[in-house]
Amino acid sequence: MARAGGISNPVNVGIAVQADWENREFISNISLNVRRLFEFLLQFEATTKSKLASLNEKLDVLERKLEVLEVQVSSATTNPSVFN
Amino acid sequence: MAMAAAMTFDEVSMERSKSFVKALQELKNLRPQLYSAAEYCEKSYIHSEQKQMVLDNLKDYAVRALVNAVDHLGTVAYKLTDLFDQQSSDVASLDLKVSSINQRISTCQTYIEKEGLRQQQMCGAAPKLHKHYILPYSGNSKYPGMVQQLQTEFRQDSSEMKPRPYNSVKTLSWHLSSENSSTSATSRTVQSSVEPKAHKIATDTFKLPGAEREKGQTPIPLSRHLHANGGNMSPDVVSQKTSVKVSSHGGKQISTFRSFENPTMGRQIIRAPPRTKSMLSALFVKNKAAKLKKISVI
Repeated sequence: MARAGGISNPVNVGIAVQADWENREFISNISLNVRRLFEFLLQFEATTKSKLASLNEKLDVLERKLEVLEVQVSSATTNPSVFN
Repeated sequence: MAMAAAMTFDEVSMERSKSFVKALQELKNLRPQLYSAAEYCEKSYIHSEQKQMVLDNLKDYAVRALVNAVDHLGTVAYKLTDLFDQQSSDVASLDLKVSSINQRISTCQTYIEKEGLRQQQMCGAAPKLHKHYILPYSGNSKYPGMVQQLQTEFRQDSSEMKPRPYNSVKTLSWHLSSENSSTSATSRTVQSSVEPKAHKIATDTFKLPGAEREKGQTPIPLSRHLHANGGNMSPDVVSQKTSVKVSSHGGKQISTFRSFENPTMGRQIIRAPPRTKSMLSALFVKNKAAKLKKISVI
């Protein structure tokens, strides 16, 4: 009985170790995927920041052009005699 | 139709933004859900007796949660990229419109500047005098070559019968002929038979080359008539008496050309009339040096 218990102990230990290895593998897979998700998020943030910066710059340029046009049009409207 | 299309475009853009906001909200809501699920699995593993089953359930839930999170993140990223592309296209179209307006304003300004320059320029158009006057031969020894050249030109023109480009301009010859025709009726003493013939022939010679001529009559230059009549017109008298009617300004009338009236005056010294500021005299005075040079070259 003791020998059966002694034989079962290594078996149980073995099973436990195998289960532990499976769990660890599962955890490593999960963590790997999470890290990949994190890297994707970082990359996405960088590209979105650059695109938004370029769009912001274009909008600034457009604003300046519109301001110049507004001034020119206002000067033209204030001096209609120029077009006569 | 255009309004409906515009509304549709606005509705589409609104839908896009709404979907993006919704996806972002759902992604944000995943966090408390995952936290609650993790607490539940921890308590159940501690208090439950079937720990293996709880562990298996936990593994499945973890996998699904991860997949769900990745799905939500992908949706959010896709919608954000779509929204950004739409905004960039709108900005590009706006840039095109602004550049077109800018170009229109610049063209208007250039035209305004050109018009202003044109108005501000000195618009004093100087009268252009055409050098088409046929000068009568004055027997002037100073300009023999010029007179010969003029005679040859007159013969060529009369022979070719070219229509002059300045037909509307009344030449010196016309004026002389008109003066002769007007003064002949007032007072004239026909002293010799040569005079009417000379006058007639002279008037004929002063006709325009394009005009019709009587048959058998050939244009004889004035110089020969003067020689035949014994005309002794001094060059000064010729220069002072003959004036030019400027076509551009309808200027001065021609003074009487008295050489044909009394050809038999002989060697009488004809007094020069009070000097009028005629264009021809001015031309003679001013262009004297130039013509001397020309004659020397010829």
